[in-house]
Amino acid sequence: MRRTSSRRGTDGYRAPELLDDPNGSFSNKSDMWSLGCILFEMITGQQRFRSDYALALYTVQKEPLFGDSPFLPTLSLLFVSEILQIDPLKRPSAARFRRMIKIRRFVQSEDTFLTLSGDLMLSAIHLSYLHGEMEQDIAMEIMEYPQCMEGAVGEALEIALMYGRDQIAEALRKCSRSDLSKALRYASSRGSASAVRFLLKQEIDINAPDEDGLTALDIAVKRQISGVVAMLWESGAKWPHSSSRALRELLAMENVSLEQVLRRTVASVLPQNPVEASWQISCTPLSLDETLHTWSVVLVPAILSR
Amino acid sequence: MDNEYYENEKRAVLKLCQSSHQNILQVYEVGQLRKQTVFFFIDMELCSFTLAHYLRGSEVPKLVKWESTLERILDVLQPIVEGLVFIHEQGEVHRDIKPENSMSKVSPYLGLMP
Repeated sequence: MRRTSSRRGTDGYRAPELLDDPNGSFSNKSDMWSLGCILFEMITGQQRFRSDYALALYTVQKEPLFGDSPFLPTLSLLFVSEILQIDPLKRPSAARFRRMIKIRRFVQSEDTFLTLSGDLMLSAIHLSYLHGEMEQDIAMEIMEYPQCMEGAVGEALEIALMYGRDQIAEALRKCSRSDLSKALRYASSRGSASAVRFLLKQEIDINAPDEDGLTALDIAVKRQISGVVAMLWESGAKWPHSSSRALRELLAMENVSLEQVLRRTVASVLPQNPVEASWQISCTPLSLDETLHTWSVVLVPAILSR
Repeated sequence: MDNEYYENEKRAVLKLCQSSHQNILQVYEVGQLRKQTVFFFIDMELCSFTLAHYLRGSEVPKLVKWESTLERILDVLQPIVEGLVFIHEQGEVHRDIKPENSMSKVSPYLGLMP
């Protein structure tokens, strides 16, 4: 037999949103806070918040949650800081936390090195080719919380497509557009045709540059991956860095005709600056005949049509 | 208001009685202890240990000492989370999760007390 101790939880495990409001309504996220407190205690052997007072102090003073605890690796492996968030909406639900733990456990049991080396979801996807049964959990996690991939979309997508994990590939579509653009550049640099094809079907900024200002097409041209260049080219990638060297490399590719390149170059530069366009064409390694041809077929009509 | 509170609690507990889950302790009976107060009793499975015993103390002789390894934590955490997911799926909130309420008949399996 047991008596209910209190109608609003127990000191030390009570969620912060219940401090100010004695009649505050419990939500399932308040339970999650309590669970986070237990988890902290299981890992460190100490209660993080010994009383309501300590908790109130914590919420006001914004002190660090863990400090430099020696248990930091385990605390982060088990998502304690994700649960102990002051805003209840930011805490994971019990169902999501169960999934996170399941994925963590799956990764842990298979390969410790992968866990230590980086992103949990990526490790999970790496491993999912061995065990199809985890695919759905991983896909669901990505689907509901696309940010959990943290920019590793390109690699994840490549693995997923390589091993035919369609659910995961499908889930990755939900990632942010900048993540997808990053993935496109990654896939282009790796020459992963299936990933590029998949990404081009999504709503994606094909011309988004990286920190060095290079677009997916720049990267593919630089690495001389002609299949990918052709694909990007046909999907309408523009040619923002038409240095003569890059242009020559592009022309050396199969499936790419001179006229196509010139038309695209002119189309991307001409509207702002016809002089720039003609200068760019003069930089290309063309014979006299070709230059004349270019002027008459591409440039002059383009200027006239303005 | 007390009466209303009592009825709500009773309804919640009865609901959990009807739907048994392996990680939620079985409840046998619910009743009010004294009419004027809000205390009421829940008759349930008998358990020997709670997680608090493991974590905090040596009150129980012969109890295995708590080891904070990842494997061990996950073993203990799993049933608690399963139980909590079940409660939330029923549209209820536990409202008093703490080590004292995570019980075990036999080490190392733990179940949640409603």
